[in-house]
Amino acid sequence: MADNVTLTIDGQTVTVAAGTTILEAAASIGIEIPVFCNHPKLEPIGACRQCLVEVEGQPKPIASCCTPAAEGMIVHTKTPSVRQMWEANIEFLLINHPLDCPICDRGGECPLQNNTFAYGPRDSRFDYTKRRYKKPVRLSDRILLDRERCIQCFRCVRFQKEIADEPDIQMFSRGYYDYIDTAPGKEFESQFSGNTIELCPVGALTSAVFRFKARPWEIQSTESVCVNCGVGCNIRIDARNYREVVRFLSRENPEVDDGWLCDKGRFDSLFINDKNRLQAPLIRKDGRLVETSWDEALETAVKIMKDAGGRSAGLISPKLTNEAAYLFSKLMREFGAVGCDWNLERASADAAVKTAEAFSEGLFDGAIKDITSSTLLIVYGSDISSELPVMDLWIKKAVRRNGAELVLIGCESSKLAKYAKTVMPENIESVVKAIESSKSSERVLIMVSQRLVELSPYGVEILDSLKEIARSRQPKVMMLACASNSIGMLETGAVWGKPGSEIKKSILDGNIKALWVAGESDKYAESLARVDALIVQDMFLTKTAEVANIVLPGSSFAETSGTIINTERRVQCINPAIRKLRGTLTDVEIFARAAVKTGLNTISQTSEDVFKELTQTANSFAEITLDKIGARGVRLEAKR
Amino acid sequence: MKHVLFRKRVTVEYPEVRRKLPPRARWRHVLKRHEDGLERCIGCSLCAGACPAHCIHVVAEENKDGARFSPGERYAKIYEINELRCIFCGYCQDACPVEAVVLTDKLDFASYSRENAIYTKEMLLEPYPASDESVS
Repeated sequence: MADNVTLTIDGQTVTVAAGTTILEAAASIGIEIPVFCNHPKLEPIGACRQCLVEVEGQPKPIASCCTPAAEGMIVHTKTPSVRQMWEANIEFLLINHPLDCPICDRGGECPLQNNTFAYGPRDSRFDYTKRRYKKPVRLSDRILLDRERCIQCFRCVRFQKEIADEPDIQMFSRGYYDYIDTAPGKEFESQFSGNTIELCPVGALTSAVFRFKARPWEIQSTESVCVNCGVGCNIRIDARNYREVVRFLSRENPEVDDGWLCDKGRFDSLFINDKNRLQAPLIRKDGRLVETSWDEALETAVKIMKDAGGRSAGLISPKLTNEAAYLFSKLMREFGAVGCDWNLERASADAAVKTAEAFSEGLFDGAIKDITSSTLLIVYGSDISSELPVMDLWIKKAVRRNGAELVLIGCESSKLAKYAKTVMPENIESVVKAIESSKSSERVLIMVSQRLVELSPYGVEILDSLKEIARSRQPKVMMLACASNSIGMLETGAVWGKPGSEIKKSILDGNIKALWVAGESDKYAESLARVDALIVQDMFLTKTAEVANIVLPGSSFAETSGTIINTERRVQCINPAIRKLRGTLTDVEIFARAAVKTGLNTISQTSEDVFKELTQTANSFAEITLDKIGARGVRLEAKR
Repeated sequence: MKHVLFRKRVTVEYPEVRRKLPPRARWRHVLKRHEDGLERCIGCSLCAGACPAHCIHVVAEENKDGARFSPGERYAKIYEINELRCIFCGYCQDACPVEAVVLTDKLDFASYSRENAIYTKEMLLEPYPASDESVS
């Protein structure tokens, strides 16, 4: 079979790779063919019959989405009969469509609406009563289904089957009575269910969270990055009036998320709009927390930390930006703190130092995209399905479509276990064994949990062994990040001094007099409550904040600008989608102001300036500029 | 003299007496109801989208059993018009798919503060049951 075929579409000659469909060939030369069921990432199915075209020599019109282009084919899309077919098909689809566009969440960004305006009939000839169903049908807490609007394109069903491999929803019945449903008594449990909302070409599958929140033309969209896990999926934050975040959509980055987003990222960050968010700094006076000014709060905070000096420490959330982490670390050094860390479980400081070395030596050179080009995937010590959900889709793609071999080391309860060829006990020898016993070990990708390498007591051993394996067998190695910017914490130098576990021990022994907790303060609530003077920076009055001396209201990632580093060491920008809540400051602003009060007058005040400073001080950032990061991000490079 | 004293008066004693306005007069908005008292407005925001002066603010909410405001799934929880900003073009009335928002011949807009010129949903809604004063 020839590699390329040449065909003629509407008089234009085009050469495409063999196997390309007529629809794709037409799209490549800018000829639009309306279609509902086809999606570039799903297998063609030809369910909607909207993309019919005429091919010379063929007695009947053919569906262009599932017909491969052939040599010498002459295709027509502009003849009156093709246009009439398109119009008739839309008229058919609209017979059963309720036309409740004014109250439909999809109205305004709806492919059916758009194609009706572009190719559909002017009027309806349908005089009868439309079919009526109970609406909406609840498929899960997150997904609601409007059966009247469904046009049976199968996109949702195919996504769940082909991409997520969690076929929770199916098309039941036949023909006119077709309807989408879950298995009896079951819910739409898939953790990727939200993608079906975006795939749905009508408003049949709608988000329970976004329902009736805003119309598409009232929305301001901002390109950002999800901070719920280490994958760093690119997202679009949609806000209304620059004040309320209404939804998160995926924004395709073919190297990171492949266009998908997990439900955690899509639905679980709307606490940003919560009415209980802190809106003024609080200070403890006579045993009670009372509102105060930023000046007083920060002055007191700085004084507490300075007084404690060598008996103070800093704990930062690994979700904060590089810029915030850099300033925080600088601030803690100025106070003379015993240490600064993002995790109170870290066993030793050596592993962190060694990991940073390994970064600069280029040990961790694996990229997310390497998953699909590898023949052997080794996942060591991390349950990817729950910790880095979108990478679970990448691995499924590699195993199911490319036939890659998957070996899980530890994490036998992972959902990925059913795709694994073997599940091995959790130790570093298993990695060597896995490579040796595999028949397809030409291109190996080792994915190792950051928790094991950086936080566990065996971190140094694991790193040494990994280096040895890297030297002798040339695999790619990727670190599976614990949090959205846990790798950035190391890169920006926010981990130093006493390791987390020793800070924790000192707290419990009563040796830490003052502790600054920046973000996620509910994490170690029990230990933190033992500190004498606690400075808590959080969005909410958490349990830890309730016992703090000073509470600083921080802002969410949707109000902040900055950069974060994902699991494949890609630096990506997060951008503010809404105005800062009144009375709050971003983390960078808080640290910068505190630094000025400490006497560090030369400190950079804005996130952009801090980033510039980072590029000058941190080696790995040397070549990077905000322009280079752009919308897709750029990976930190190190020569191996 | 004769022209001034004996000509028929052209002024009326407003507000006791009101002049009949032309049938297509476009003044204050009213949110209409169905005959059974349910609100016509479905909170679709199309009026706000059509408004060239951006003076309409709509926040929609879902009708629930026991708290039903309009016939379908959706109703307007907040519906506000800033009548100071309104240019009375009538696009909102044109855009409305359910004939809920209508410009009437009411034109008493005077108020002592700017805030009072923002008409809330309660002020705009047609009274139910209809009283004698309600607009025809």
